[in-house]
Amino acid sequence: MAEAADRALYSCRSRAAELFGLEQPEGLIFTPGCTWAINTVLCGCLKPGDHVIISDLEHNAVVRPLHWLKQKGVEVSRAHVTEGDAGATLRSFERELRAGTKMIFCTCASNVSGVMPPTAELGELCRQKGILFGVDGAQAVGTENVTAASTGADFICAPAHKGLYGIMGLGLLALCGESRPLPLARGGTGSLSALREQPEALPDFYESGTLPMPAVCALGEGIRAVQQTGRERIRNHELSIVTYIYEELRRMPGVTLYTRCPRPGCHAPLLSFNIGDLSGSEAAARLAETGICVRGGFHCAYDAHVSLGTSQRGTVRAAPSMFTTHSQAEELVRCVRAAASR
Amino acid sequence: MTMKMLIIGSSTRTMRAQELLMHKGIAARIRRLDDPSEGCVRALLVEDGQAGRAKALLAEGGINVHRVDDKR
Repeated sequence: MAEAADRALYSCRSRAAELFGLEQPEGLIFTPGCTWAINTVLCGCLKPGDHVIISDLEHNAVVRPLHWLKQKGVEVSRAHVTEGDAGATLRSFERELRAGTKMIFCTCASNVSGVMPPTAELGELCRQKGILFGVDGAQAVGTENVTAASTGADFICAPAHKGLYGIMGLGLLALCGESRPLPLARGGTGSLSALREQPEALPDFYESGTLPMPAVCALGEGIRAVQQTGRERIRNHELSIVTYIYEELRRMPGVTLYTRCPRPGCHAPLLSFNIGDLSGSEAAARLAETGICVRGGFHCAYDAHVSLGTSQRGTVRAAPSMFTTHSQAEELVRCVRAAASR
Repeated sequence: MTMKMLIIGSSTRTMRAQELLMHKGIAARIRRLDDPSEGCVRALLVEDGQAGRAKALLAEGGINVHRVDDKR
Protein backbone atom coordinates (compact mmCIF):
# COMPACT_ATOMS: atom_id res chain seq x y z
CA MET A 1 0.00 0.00 0.00
CA ALA A 2 2.90 2.29 0.83
CA GLU A 3 4.49 1.52 -2.52
CA ALA A 4 1.24 2.31 -4.29
CA ALA A 5 1.15 5.65 -2.47
CA ASP A 6 4.76 6.31 -3.50
CA ARG A 7 3.82 5.61 -7.13
CA ALA A 8 0.81 7.92 -6.96
CA LEU A 9 2.97 10.65 -5.44
CA TYR A 10 5.62 10.24 -8.11
CA SER A 11 3.01 10.23 -10.85
CA CYS A 12 1.48 13.50 -9.66
CA ARG A 13 4.88 15.08 -9.15
CA SER A 14 5.92 14.10 -12.67
CA ARG A 15 2.71 15.51 -14.15
CA ALA A 16 3.12 18.76 -12.28
CA ALA A 17 6.79 19.03 -13.25
CA GLU A 18 5.83 18.53 -16.88
CA LEU A 19 3.15 21.23 -16.54
CA PHE A 20 5.78 23.76 -15.46
CA GLY A 21 8.34 22.57 -18.00
CA LEU A 22 10.78 21.27 -15.41
CA GLU A 23 13.42 18.85 -16.61
CA GLN A 24 13.14 16.58 -13.60
CA PRO A 25 10.29 15.77 -11.22
CA GLU A 26 12.55 16.39 -8.19
CA GLY A 27 12.34 20.12 -8.90
CA LEU A 28 8.62 20.10 -8.16
CA ILE A 29 8.04 20.58 -4.46
CA PHE A 30 4.73 19.96 -2.72
CA THR A 31 3.91 22.47 0.00
CA PRO A 32 0.98 22.97 2.39
CA GLY A 33 -0.32 25.67 0.05
CA CYS A 34 0.70 28.39 -2.36
CA THR A 35 1.27 30.72 0.60
CA TRP A 36 3.83 28.28 2.01
CA ALA A 37 5.56 28.08 -1.38
CA ILE A 38 5.77 31.88 -1.58
CA ASN A 39 7.03 32.11 1.98
CA THR A 40 9.70 29.52 1.19
CA VAL A 41 10.94 31.65 -1.70
CA LEU A 42 10.83 34.99 0.10
CA CYS A 43 11.96 33.95 3.57
CA GLY A 44 14.35 31.35 2.21
CA CYS A 45 16.16 33.65 -0.18
CA LEU A 46 16.08 37.15 1.29
CA LYS A 47 18.48 38.30 4.02
CA PRO A 48 18.86 41.64 5.85
CA GLY A 49 20.21 44.21 3.43
CA ASP A 50 18.65 42.56 0.38
CA HIS A 51 16.21 44.51 -1.77
CA VAL A 52 13.14 43.03 -3.44
CA ILE A 53 10.68 44.58 -5.88
CA ILE A 54 7.05 43.49 -5.99
CA SER A 55 4.04 44.80 -7.89
CA ASP A 56 1.17 46.82 -6.44
CA LEU A 57 -1.21 43.91 -7.08
CA GLU A 58 0.23 41.34 -4.69
CA HIS A 59 -1.71 39.01 -2.42
CA ASN A 60 -1.06 38.99 1.33
CA ALA A 61 0.84 35.74 0.79
CA VAL A 62 3.52 38.06 -0.61
CA VAL A 63 2.83 41.28 1.28
CA ARG A 64 2.79 39.86 4.80
CA PRO A 65 6.04 37.85 4.75
CA LEU A 66 7.73 40.85 3.17
CA HIS A 67 6.31 43.12 5.84
CA TRP A 68 7.89 40.80 8.42
CA LEU A 69 11.15 40.64 6.46
CA LYS A 70 11.19 44.43 6.21
CA GLN A 71 11.32 44.57 9.98
CA LYS A 72 14.36 42.28 9.79
CA GLY A 73 16.19 44.60 7.40
CA VAL A 74 15.01 43.56 3.93
CA GLU A 75 14.07 46.51 1.74
CA VAL A 76 10.88 46.31 -0.28
CA SER A 77 9.83 48.45 -3.25
CA ARG A 78 6.58 48.42 -5.17
CA ALA A 79 6.26 48.88 -8.89
CA HIS A 80 3.02 49.91 -10.56
CA VAL A 81 1.30 47.58 -13.02
CA THR A 82 -0.42 49.49 -15.80
CA GLU A 83 -3.25 47.47 -17.26
CA GLY A 84 -2.55 46.51 -20.86
CA ASP A 85 0.75 48.43 -21.05
CA ALA A 86 3.71 46.10 -20.65
CA GLY A 87 6.18 48.87 -21.46
CA ALA A 88 4.94 51.18 -18.74
CA THR A 89 4.88 48.33 -16.22
CA LEU A 90 8.40 47.29 -17.12
CA ARG A 91 9.67 50.85 -16.77
CA SER A 92 8.08 51.06 -13.34
CA PHE A 93 9.99 47.95 -12.24
CA GLU A 94 13.21 49.23 -13.80
CA ARG A 95 12.95 52.49 -11.88
CA GLU A 96 12.96 50.54 -8.63
CA LEU A 97 16.12 48.59 -9.44
CA ARG A 98 19.18 49.41 -7.38
CA ALA A 99 22.59 47.94 -6.65
CA GLY A 100 21.36 45.64 -3.87
CA THR A 101 18.27 44.31 -5.65
CA LYS A 102 18.23 40.57 -5.17
CA MET A 103 14.79 39.60 -6.44
CA ILE A 104 11.69 40.64 -8.31
CA PHE A 105 8.59 38.80 -7.12
CA CYS A 106 5.40 39.34 -9.04
CA THR A 107 1.97 37.87 -9.54
CA CYS A 108 1.20 36.29 -12.90
CA ALA A 109 -2.37 37.60 -12.63
CA SER A 110 -4.14 39.71 -10.03
CA ASN A 111 -6.68 37.68 -8.07
CA VAL A 112 -8.78 40.86 -7.81
CA SER A 113 -8.78 42.33 -11.31
CA GLY A 114 -7.29 39.56 -13.45
CA VAL A 115 -4.74 42.03 -14.81
CA MET A 116 -1.60 40.21 -15.91
CA PRO A 117 1.80 41.88 -15.49
CA PRO A 118 4.29 41.15 -18.28
CA THR A 119 6.02 38.23 -16.58
CA ALA A 120 8.05 37.13 -19.60
CA GLU A 121 9.53 40.63 -19.93
CA LEU A 122 10.18 40.80 -16.20
CA GLY A 123 11.89 37.43 -16.39
CA GLU A 124 14.14 38.72 -19.16
CA LEU A 125 14.89 41.85 -17.13
CA CYS A 126 15.91 39.70 -14.17
CA ARG A 127 18.07 37.54 -16.38
CA GLN A 128 19.86 40.60 -17.76
CA LYS A 129 20.42 42.01 -14.28
CA GLY A 130 21.39 38.68 -12.72
CA ILE A 131 18.66 38.81 -10.09
CA LEU A 132 16.16 36.20 -8.96
CA PHE A 133 12.64 36.12 -10.31
CA GLY A 134 9.74 34.55 -8.48
CA VAL A 135 6.13 34.43 -9.60
CA ASP A 136 2.83 33.83 -7.85
CA GLY A 137 0.91 31.71 -10.32
CA ALA A 138 -2.14 31.24 -8.10
CA GLN A 139 -4.62 32.91 -10.43
CA ALA A 140 -2.94 31.95 -13.69
CA VAL A 141 -1.77 28.34 -13.55
CA GLY A 142 -4.18 26.14 -15.44
CA THR A 143 -5.33 28.80 -17.90
CA GLU A 144 -2.23 30.85 -18.75
CA ASN A 145 1.14 29.72 -20.05
CA VAL A 146 3.11 29.63 -16.81
CA THR A 147 6.25 27.57 -17.30
CA ALA A 148 9.92 27.88 -16.52
CA ALA A 149 10.62 28.82 -20.13
CA SER A 150 7.68 31.20 -20.69
CA THR A 151 8.28 33.20 -17.50
CA GLY A 152 12.04 32.91 -17.10
CA ALA A 153 11.26 32.50 -13.41
CA ASP A 154 13.53 30.89 -10.87
CA PHE A 155 10.49 30.01 -8.77
CA ILE A 156 6.85 29.39 -9.67
CA CYS A 157 4.34 29.13 -6.82
CA ALA A 158 0.85 27.77 -7.26
CA PRO A 159 -2.06 26.24 -5.33
CA ALA A 160 -3.62 22.89 -6.10
CA HIS A 161 -7.20 24.08 -5.63
CA LYS A 162 -7.69 26.75 -8.31
CA GLY A 163 -6.90 26.23 -11.99
CA LEU A 164 -5.56 22.73 -11.40
CA TYR A 165 -8.81 21.44 -9.88
CA GLY A 166 -7.23 19.85 -6.86
CA ILE A 167 -8.47 20.30 -3.30
CA MET A 168 -7.44 22.80 -0.65
CA GLY A 169 -4.42 22.24 1.54
CA LEU A 170 -1.75 21.66 -1.09
CA GLY A 171 0.56 23.91 -3.03
CA LEU A 172 3.36 23.62 -5.53
CA LEU A 173 6.77 25.22 -5.75
CA ALA A 174 8.58 24.75 -9.03
CA LEU A 175 12.33 25.24 -8.70
CA CYS A 176 13.18 26.33 -12.23
CA GLY A 177 16.73 27.59 -11.73
CA GLU A 178 19.74 26.72 -9.65
CA SER A 179 18.82 28.79 -6.61
CA ARG A 180 17.80 26.89 -3.49
CA PRO A 181 16.01 28.84 -0.75
CA LEU A 182 16.32 27.62 2.80
CA PRO A 183 13.34 25.46 3.77
CA LEU A 184 10.75 26.77 6.21
CA ALA A 185 10.61 23.49 8.09
CA ARG A 186 12.89 20.57 8.78
CA GLY A 187 11.87 17.13 9.92
CA GLY A 188 11.08 13.63 8.77
CA THR A 189 11.42 13.04 5.07
CA GLY A 190 10.98 9.27 4.89
CA SER A 191 14.62 9.01 3.89
CA LEU A 192 18.10 8.97 5.42
CA SER A 193 16.56 8.90 8.85
CA ALA A 194 19.88 8.44 10.64
CA LEU A 195 21.08 11.85 9.47
CA ARG A 196 20.66 14.77 11.86
CA GLU A 197 20.87 17.19 8.96
CA GLN A 198 17.98 17.72 6.61
CA PRO A 199 18.70 15.65 3.47
CA GLU A 200 19.88 17.97 0.73
CA ALA A 201 18.47 16.00 -2.19
CA LEU A 202 15.33 17.31 -3.83
CA PRO A 203 12.48 17.19 -3.13
CA ASP A 204 13.17 15.87 0.38
CA PHE A 205 14.99 19.05 1.38
CA TYR A 206 11.68 20.91 1.31
CA GLU A 207 9.18 18.21 2.14
CA SER A 208 9.22 17.45 5.84
CA GLY A 209 6.34 15.64 7.45
CA THR A 210 3.58 13.59 5.92
CA LEU A 211 2.26 14.81 2.60
CA PRO A 212 -1.52 15.08 2.23
CA MET A 213 -1.89 12.13 -0.08
CA PRO A 214 -5.63 12.62 -0.75
CA ALA A 215 -4.80 16.14 -1.96
CA VAL A 216 -1.86 14.90 -4.00
CA CYS A 217 -3.98 12.25 -5.71
CA ALA A 218 -6.74 14.79 -6.37
CA LEU A 219 -4.21 17.17 -7.89
CA GLY A 220 -2.86 14.43 -10.13
CA GLU A 221 -6.33 13.88 -11.54
CA GLY A 222 -6.92 17.61 -11.82
CA ILE A 223 -3.77 18.13 -13.84
CA ARG A 224 -4.72 15.17 -16.03
CA ALA A 225 -8.09 16.82 -16.69
CA VAL A 226 -6.46 20.14 -17.57
CA GLN A 227 -3.96 18.46 -19.89
CA GLN A 228 -6.62 16.35 -21.59
CA THR A 229 -9.01 19.27 -22.03
CA GLY A 230 -6.26 21.66 -23.07
CA ARG A 231 -5.14 24.73 -21.18
CA GLU A 232 -5.89 27.13 -24.03
CA ARG A 233 -9.31 25.63 -24.57
CA ILE A 234 -10.07 26.11 -20.86
CA ARG A 235 -8.80 29.67 -20.95
CA ASN A 236 -10.80 30.54 -24.07
CA HIS A 237 -13.94 29.06 -22.55
CA GLU A 238 -13.52 30.94 -19.27
CA LEU A 239 -12.63 34.18 -21.06
CA SER A 240 -15.76 33.90 -23.20
CA ILE A 241 -17.81 33.59 -20.01
CA VAL A 242 -16.09 36.59 -18.43
CA THR A 243 -16.31 38.79 -21.52
CA TYR A 244 -20.03 38.00 -21.85
CA ILE A 245 -20.56 39.02 -18.21
CA TYR A 246 -18.42 42.12 -18.72
CA GLU A 247 -20.40 43.29 -21.76
CA GLU A 248 -23.71 42.79 -19.95
CA LEU A 249 -22.59 44.51 -16.76
CA ARG A 250 -21.01 47.38 -18.67
CA ARG A 251 -24.46 48.39 -19.92
CA MET A 252 -26.19 47.83 -16.59
CA PRO A 253 -27.19 50.87 -14.50
CA GLY A 254 -25.86 50.73 -10.97
CA VAL A 255 -22.95 48.40 -11.73
CA THR A 256 -19.32 49.53 -11.65
CA LEU A 257 -16.52 47.76 -13.49
CA TYR A 258 -12.83 48.42 -12.92
CA THR A 259 -10.93 47.07 -15.90
CA ARG A 260 -11.15 47.05 -19.65
CA CYS A 261 -12.91 44.14 -21.29
CA PRO A 262 -10.80 41.07 -20.47
CA ARG A 263 -8.67 39.81 -23.33
CA PRO A 264 -6.13 37.01 -23.79
CA GLY A 265 -2.64 37.75 -22.59
CA CYS A 266 -3.72 40.81 -20.63
CA HIS A 267 -6.31 39.39 -18.24
CA ALA A 268 -6.86 36.12 -16.46
CA PRO A 269 -10.50 35.03 -16.74
CA LEU A 270 -12.10 36.71 -13.76
CA LEU A 271 -14.00 39.91 -13.16
CA SER A 272 -14.40 42.34 -10.26
CA PHE A 273 -17.37 44.64 -10.04
CA ASN A 274 -19.60 46.44 -7.56
CA ILE A 275 -23.35 46.95 -7.26
CA GLY A 276 -24.72 50.35 -6.34
CA ASP A 277 -23.08 51.64 -3.19
CA LEU A 278 -22.96 48.21 -1.58
CA SER A 279 -19.67 46.92 -0.28
CA GLY A 280 -18.22 43.92 -2.08
CA SER A 281 -19.20 41.63 0.79
CA GLU A 282 -22.76 42.97 0.93
CA ALA A 283 -23.18 42.54 -2.81
CA ALA A 284 -21.81 39.00 -2.68
CA ALA A 285 -24.19 38.16 0.16
CA ARG A 286 -27.13 39.48 -1.87
CA LEU A 287 -26.10 37.34 -4.83
CA ALA A 288 -25.63 34.32 -2.56
CA GLU A 289 -29.32 34.60 -1.61
CA THR A 290 -30.10 33.75 -5.22
CA GLY A 291 -27.63 30.86 -5.38
CA ILE A 292 -24.80 32.73 -7.09
CA CYS A 293 -21.36 31.84 -5.71
CA VAL A 294 -18.92 34.73 -5.91
CA ARG A 295 -16.36 36.14 -3.49
CA GLY A 296 -16.86 39.57 -1.97
CA GLY A 297 -14.49 41.75 0.00
CA PHE A 298 -10.78 42.42 -0.31
CA HIS A 299 -9.66 38.97 -1.47
CA CYS A 300 -6.61 39.00 0.84
CA ALA A 301 -5.11 41.53 -1.57
CA TYR A 302 -5.66 44.99 -0.10
CA ASP A 303 -2.80 46.46 -2.17
CA ALA A 304 -4.62 45.44 -5.34
CA HIS A 305 -7.75 47.22 -4.14
CA VAL A 306 -5.72 50.36 -3.42
CA SER A 307 -4.40 50.15 -6.96
CA LEU A 308 -7.91 49.57 -8.32
CA GLY A 309 -9.46 52.38 -6.26
CA THR A 310 -11.70 50.01 -4.27
CA SER A 311 -9.93 50.09 -0.91
CA GLN A 312 -13.00 51.53 0.80
CA ARG A 313 -15.47 48.83 -0.21
CA GLY A 314 -13.75 45.90 -1.88
CA THR A 315 -15.37 44.23 -4.85
CA VAL A 316 -17.39 41.23 -5.91
CA ARG A 317 -15.28 38.80 -7.89
CA ALA A 318 -16.71 36.33 -10.37
CA ALA A 319 -14.27 33.63 -11.47
CA PRO A 320 -15.57 30.89 -13.78
CA SER A 321 -14.09 27.44 -14.12
CA MET A 322 -13.94 25.03 -17.02
CA PHE A 323 -17.28 23.69 -15.78
CA THR A 324 -19.11 27.02 -15.77
CA THR A 325 -21.78 27.19 -18.45
CA HIS A 326 -23.06 30.16 -20.42
CA SER A 327 -26.50 29.66 -18.93
CA GLN A 328 -24.94 30.03 -15.48
CA ALA A 329 -23.31 33.27 -16.65
CA GLU A 330 -26.71 34.45 -17.90
CA GLU A 331 -28.18 33.65 -14.49
CA LEU A 332 -25.44 35.66 -12.78
CA VAL A 333 -26.23 38.63 -15.01
CA ARG A 334 -29.95 38.34 -14.20
CA CYS A 335 -29.22 38.23 -10.46
CA VAL A 336 -26.86 41.20 -10.63
CA ARG A 337 -29.52 43.17 -12.52
CA ALA A 338 -32.07 42.30 -9.83
CA ALA A 339 -29.67 43.23 -7.03
CA ALA A 340 -28.75 46.49 -8.73
CA SER A 341 -32.39 47.49 -9.14
CA ARG A 342 -33.30 46.95 -5.46
CA MET B 1 21.71 -14.91 -10.94
CA THR B 2 23.45 -12.50 -8.60
CA MET B 3 21.97 -9.08 -7.97
CA LYS B 4 23.34 -5.74 -6.90
CA MET B 5 21.72 -2.91 -4.91
CA LEU B 6 22.26 0.58 -6.23
CA ILE B 7 21.79 2.77 -3.17
CA ILE B 8 20.25 6.07 -4.26
CA GLY B 9 18.44 7.49 -1.25
CA SER B 10 15.25 9.42 -1.86
CA SER B 11 12.05 7.89 -3.13
CA THR B 12 11.63 10.38 -5.97
CA ARG B 13 15.11 9.95 -7.33
CA THR B 14 14.89 6.20 -7.08
CA MET B 15 11.65 6.13 -9.05
CA ARG B 16 13.11 8.36 -11.73
CA ALA B 17 16.16 6.14 -11.80
CA GLN B 18 13.98 3.08 -12.30
CA GLU B 19 12.17 4.80 -15.19
CA LEU B 20 15.44 5.82 -16.76
CA LEU B 21 16.93 2.33 -16.58
CA MET B 22 13.78 0.70 -17.90
CA HIS B 23 13.88 3.05 -20.90
CA LYS B 24 17.39 1.77 -21.52
CA GLY B 25 16.32 -1.84 -21.25
CA ILE B 26 17.67 -2.52 -17.75
CA ALA B 27 15.21 -4.15 -15.39
CA ALA B 28 15.30 -2.61 -11.93
CA ARG B 29 13.19 -3.17 -8.84
CA ILE B 30 12.85 -0.70 -6.00
CA ARG B 31 13.80 -1.83 -2.53
CA ARG B 32 13.47 0.03 0.72
CA LEU B 33 16.39 -0.55 3.07
CA ASP B 34 17.20 0.28 6.65
CA ASP B 35 20.80 1.35 6.52
CA PRO B 36 22.50 1.50 9.94
CA SER B 37 24.48 4.60 9.03
CA GLU B 38 21.89 6.50 6.99
CA GLY B 39 18.52 5.20 8.04
CA CYS B 40 15.78 4.69 5.46
CA VAL B 41 17.09 4.61 1.91
CA ARG B 42 15.68 3.50 -1.41
CA ALA B 43 17.72 1.31 -3.72
CA LEU B 44 17.40 -0.30 -7.11
CA LEU B 45 17.93 -4.01 -7.48
CA VAL B 46 19.63 -4.86 -10.80
CA GLU B 47 21.49 -7.85 -12.22
CA ASP B 48 25.14 -7.96 -11.22
CA GLY B 49 26.28 -7.73 -14.84
CA GLN B 50 24.18 -4.62 -15.45
CA ALA B 51 25.19 -2.71 -12.33
CA GLY B 52 28.15 -0.86 -13.86
CA ARG B 53 26.26 0.27 -16.93
CA ALA B 54 23.24 1.18 -14.80
CA LYS B 55 25.36 3.35 -12.54
CA ALA B 56 26.88 5.13 -15.54
CA LEU B 57 23.47 5.72 -17.13
CA LEU B 58 22.14 7.14 -13.90
CA ALA B 59 25.11 9.46 -13.56
CA GLU B 60 24.39 10.76 -17.07
CA GLY B 61 20.83 11.36 -15.93
CA GLY B 62 21.95 13.36 -12.92
CA ILE B 63 21.26 10.65 -10.36
CA ASN B 64 24.06 9.90 -7.95
CA VAL B 65 24.38 6.30 -6.80
CA HIS B 66 25.81 6.54 -3.28
CA ARG B 67 27.24 3.02 -3.42
CA VAL B 68 26.69 -0.43 -4.88
CA ASP B 69 26.04 -3.28 -2.44
CA ASP B 70 25.48 -6.95 -2.85
CA LYS B 71 21.82 -7.89 -2.57
CA ARG B 72 20.88 -8.40 1.08
